[in-house]
Amino acid sequence: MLAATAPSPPQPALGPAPSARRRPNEAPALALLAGAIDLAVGIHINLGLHYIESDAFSRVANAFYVLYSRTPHLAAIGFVWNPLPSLLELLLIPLKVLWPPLVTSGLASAVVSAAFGGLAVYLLLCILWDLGLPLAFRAAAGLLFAANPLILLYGANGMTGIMLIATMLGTLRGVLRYLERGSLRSLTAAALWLAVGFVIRYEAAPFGALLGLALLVVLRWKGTGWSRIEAALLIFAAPLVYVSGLWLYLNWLVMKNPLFFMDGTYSNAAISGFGAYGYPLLSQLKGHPLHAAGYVAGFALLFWPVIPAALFAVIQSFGRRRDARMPVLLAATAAVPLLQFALLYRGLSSGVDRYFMYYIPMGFLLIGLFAAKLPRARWRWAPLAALALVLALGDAGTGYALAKSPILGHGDGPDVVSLYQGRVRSEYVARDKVVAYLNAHPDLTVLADSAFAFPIILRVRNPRQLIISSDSAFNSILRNPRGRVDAFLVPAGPADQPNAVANAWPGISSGKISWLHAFATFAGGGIYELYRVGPNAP
Amino acid sequence: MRRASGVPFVSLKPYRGEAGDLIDPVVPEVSALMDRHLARASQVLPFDASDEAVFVAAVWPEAPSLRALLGTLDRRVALCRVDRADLLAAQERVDRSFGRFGQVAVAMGRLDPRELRAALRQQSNGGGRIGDVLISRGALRRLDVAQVAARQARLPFVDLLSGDGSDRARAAWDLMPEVFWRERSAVPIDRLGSRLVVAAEDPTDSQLAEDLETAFAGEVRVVATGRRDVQAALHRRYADEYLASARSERAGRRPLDSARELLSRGQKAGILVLGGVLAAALWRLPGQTAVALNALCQVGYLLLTLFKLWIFREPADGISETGVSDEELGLLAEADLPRYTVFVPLRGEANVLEALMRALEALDYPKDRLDVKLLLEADDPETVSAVFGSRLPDFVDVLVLPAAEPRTKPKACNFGLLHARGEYAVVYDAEDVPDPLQLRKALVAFRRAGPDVGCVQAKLSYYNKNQNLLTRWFTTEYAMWFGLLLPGLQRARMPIPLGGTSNHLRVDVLREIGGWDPYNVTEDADLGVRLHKAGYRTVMVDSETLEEANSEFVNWVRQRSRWVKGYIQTWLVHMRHPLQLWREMGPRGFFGFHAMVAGTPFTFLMNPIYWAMTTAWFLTYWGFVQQVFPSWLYYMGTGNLLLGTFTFAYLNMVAAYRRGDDDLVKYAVFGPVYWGLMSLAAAKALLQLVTRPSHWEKTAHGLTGAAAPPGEIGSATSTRRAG
Repeated sequence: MLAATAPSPPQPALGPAPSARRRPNEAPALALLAGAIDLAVGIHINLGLHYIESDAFSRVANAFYVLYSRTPHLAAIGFVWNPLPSLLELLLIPLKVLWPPLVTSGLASAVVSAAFGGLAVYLLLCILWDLGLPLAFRAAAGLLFAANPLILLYGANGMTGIMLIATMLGTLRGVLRYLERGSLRSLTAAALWLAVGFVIRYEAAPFGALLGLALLVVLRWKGTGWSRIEAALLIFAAPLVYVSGLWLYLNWLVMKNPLFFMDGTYSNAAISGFGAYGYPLLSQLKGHPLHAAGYVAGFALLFWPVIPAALFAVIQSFGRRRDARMPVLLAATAAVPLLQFALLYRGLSSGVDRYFMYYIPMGFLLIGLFAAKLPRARWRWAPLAALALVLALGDAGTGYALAKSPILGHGDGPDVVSLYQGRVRSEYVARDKVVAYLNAHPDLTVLADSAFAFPIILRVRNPRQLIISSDSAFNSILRNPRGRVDAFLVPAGPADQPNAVANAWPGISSGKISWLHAFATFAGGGIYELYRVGPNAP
Repeated sequence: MRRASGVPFVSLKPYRGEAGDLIDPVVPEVSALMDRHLARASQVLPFDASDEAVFVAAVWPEAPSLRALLGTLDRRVALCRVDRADLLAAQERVDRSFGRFGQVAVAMGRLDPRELRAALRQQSNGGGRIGDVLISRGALRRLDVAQVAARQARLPFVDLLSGDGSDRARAAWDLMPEVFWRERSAVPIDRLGSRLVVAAEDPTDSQLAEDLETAFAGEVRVVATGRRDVQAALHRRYADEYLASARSERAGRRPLDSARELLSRGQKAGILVLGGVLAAALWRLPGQTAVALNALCQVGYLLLTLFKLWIFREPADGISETGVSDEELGLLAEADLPRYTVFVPLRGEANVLEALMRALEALDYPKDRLDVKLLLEADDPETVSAVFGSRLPDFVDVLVLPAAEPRTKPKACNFGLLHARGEYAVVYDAEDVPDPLQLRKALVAFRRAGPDVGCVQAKLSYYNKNQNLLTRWFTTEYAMWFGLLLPGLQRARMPIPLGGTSNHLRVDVLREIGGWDPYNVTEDADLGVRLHKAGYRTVMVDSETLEEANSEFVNWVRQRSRWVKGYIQTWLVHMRHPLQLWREMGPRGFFGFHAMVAGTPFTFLMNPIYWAMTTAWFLTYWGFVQQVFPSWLYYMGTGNLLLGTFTFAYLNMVAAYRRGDDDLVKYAVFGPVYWGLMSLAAAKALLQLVTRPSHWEKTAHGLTGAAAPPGEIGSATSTRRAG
């Protein structure tokens, strides 16, 4: 139940005493342990099994361009994308002189995701501590959360999912503490976590919007005046709105299109336009709200305990003994799925499992809140142990769903199975051949769209051999290459992704561009072709 | 009066006046001019006095023994004959009038007996002298008490307000130093040969007579007078010394520790050398020099932003300032409350006098221990006549400063400090409406904080916050300054630039560090720094004073330009010897001093330059901008702009919310527009720093139609005690 202290003035007395502990003692150690496990797994799957997600790798590349491209500049990071992951990885890039795989294998992304994996465990433990749960339950929940197959994978693979989860937990911790204690500091912390979340993934925006709505409802329940609610919501939303505005501005500044992230060359819309999301199942969701809703809701089975826990929370959100924390957690649980519902309905999402992994931390929190409502009796350990078992079964369910369900495992299922079985990926043969060729021809200057060529850029001995998308002269050289570049590097085969060279000069592969002549082809896990720029080029 | 044998005959019987009231021709205070027993033995009675003579009634006016006795009166005597029975009856009446204080006051018709009984009950509970209790209850004025006390002690009461009593005792003033007369509240009024007559507020002070007799080596006779009479005499005698002291004591004692000289010789030389080097560098290497200067500013800006974020990390939950609970206030024993001086400098503020008096009356503090000093300026006749034309309560003293430069508030406060009788002192502005419990809360804060605390700063806010957009922004700024920033500085143990009013100070500490710098136009900020240098801490107390926010743009710019100018003055004064300052403050204090005192005007002055450059870049892609912003600096500058702008706007929002000004949170979002106004004021300040460094840009008050109702004073953070 909420404490009687509503967040209305006078405020100061509501804050914790200066000496009040802010976190559970075990949190730093368990967070470090979780982070270390994530990193160890990350190193193993990356270096040992040659597994890395291309998004994670490209973020490392974006950071790399800042320091090592032909024209080093911060904007090379690509401010039209949520920039925080690359900004954090930027700090690790110079360490490549000590450990090259940080860059060549994109391990910098794994270091960052592992750090956020630890942070997520830390914040989860803090919330469970705030709920008044005992150490044993907290520790079990924290470890089970870290061990969840999807959470572990995303803590290790350098992707941003776990990073957003950590900021969501930070936001929730602040909101819950604010509601519980009226602590303004917690409200501002929540707001800042939310803004940080937005510079990682834009799912933070609907998450913030729904939490704001929940705050409004709950504060009204508590009899808070409209003026106070308006002020609280402004404080909660201001950092997110500011960062969003900044993002639109940077999109305009860089691409002269404030909505570039939504409708630009590499956006979901553009990718879906290429037919990348044209799976039969996804096609059935487009324009069918019930199908889309069913698909989104079904992903709750990725962590099945969230379902009964959410039902319990719905019940607890009404009636005389309603608990204000319940609507907040329900809103947090529903936010990203609602966004996915909208995107799937419009055919703008690939609907993969990682877009629904947010059910997992919310499931842990809802179960935690259920546990916190148990009477403090001597027999309390038994239901707590049972709830810990439920969480463990939830983890097992995640693994089972990924391995066995083609729908729930859509995206990472096959990868998880192959990683579990220790199978080595070998799809980068062509890439490595290109790298070897460029290293063998150090005088050759090559123009390449970094959207596909980033693994080559990161591995080639002299990255300045390449003219890449973030170079200020890229477009100019692409249009007028004569005397300025020796060759174009182009992915061959059916175009399944945007490619600036092919866009600028359609018909390269069919020989329609008279001044471009293929002189080297590299195959294996994809095909790359090098085209020499002829003397009759513009 | 009949005449017989050349001596007029007088009747001392009471008689009916024209209005039917009973008039006693015998003035008891005059009868006290002569020793009671000698008068009885000689059958004489001094019964009245005029400016020229004392009227003495005698049964045997021709008796030779009478001559020596009348000689003790030290003035011309008009002798009258009287019937013996008449004389004896008059002496009885006089004797009856010299009883206990309360009885005397009742007998003199100054006090209602029911009020006396109530005051006696209060005295038995809370202690204190009955005269003070009666004053605090409003039953008697201080002048009444002085006159009753004189009657009780059978001493004559002298009026020094209009007279020139000091003239006849000119040489006697030099017997003792000024501080003796001031602290003992006594003045010499007459000297005849080996006899010195002294008027004292407390004529029963035996130590006074003893000390004077030792110094004078003769007979000392003490008569009674009022406190304002003593002060009037002191001011007539020491006017020049007081003014010199208020104006230049600090400057005279430690010239480098005052803003009287804007720059020391070393600073002038330093500026010349630095300017020369800079000019040469700009001449020889213009691009690199511009980049280096830009980098210096950007790094400074970034450090300031980070510093403020660090400072703000804790106070958002309100745990830094000293909160005082009702229980703690209840534990303060009334009898132990010390005397508290309240300085209120007034200039051109006759229109707010009534509100000021209401606010002072509302202070929940025993009035007998309140020592309010209204500090007026002689060349402000409107305010002076308004003050003297109003009926001031007894705890209020009026000090009129002679017209002289510098015409600053700190000079007035120094003047007041000379006469402060309190153990603690606080400064309020004329339009201030302090939390009624503020003095008590400050006392609790002092007692809780320990002996190293020299100042307790209360928070300031505004009662006309919703008057217009400017007042809304101003209020959010104050909420941030007093609610977040200063508590943060306290927590970080850094020097706190005090707010202009409501700074509660230990008077001994204030005197120890030399009072205020009369030439500094932000004497409050300077005082905060000097307290820190002297090893004293400042703590914030959770109590508010409501002021009038400047609602007029021009008036606001004037006020703000004074503040900015004063900060620069303060920085220059304390940076006379940077190494010494480092030693006195330590690294933490040194950094905090620079961040607050130099950083505040620095950001105001830098903002428009960078805004202009950014705008110019986007409109024209001016090559110069690109030249002074190499990419690394460009990113830092962009970060400063984006992070700094958001940070400060957001902090204002948080501060407004924290104070409960929910309706102002949305206005705080647009705070950066307000900073533009600040920059305008800062530019004016910089110009005036050169042209009129000590000119006090007076803020006009009374521009709001609404004053805070006394019942709501300080209501944001305080509760009134029951009863």
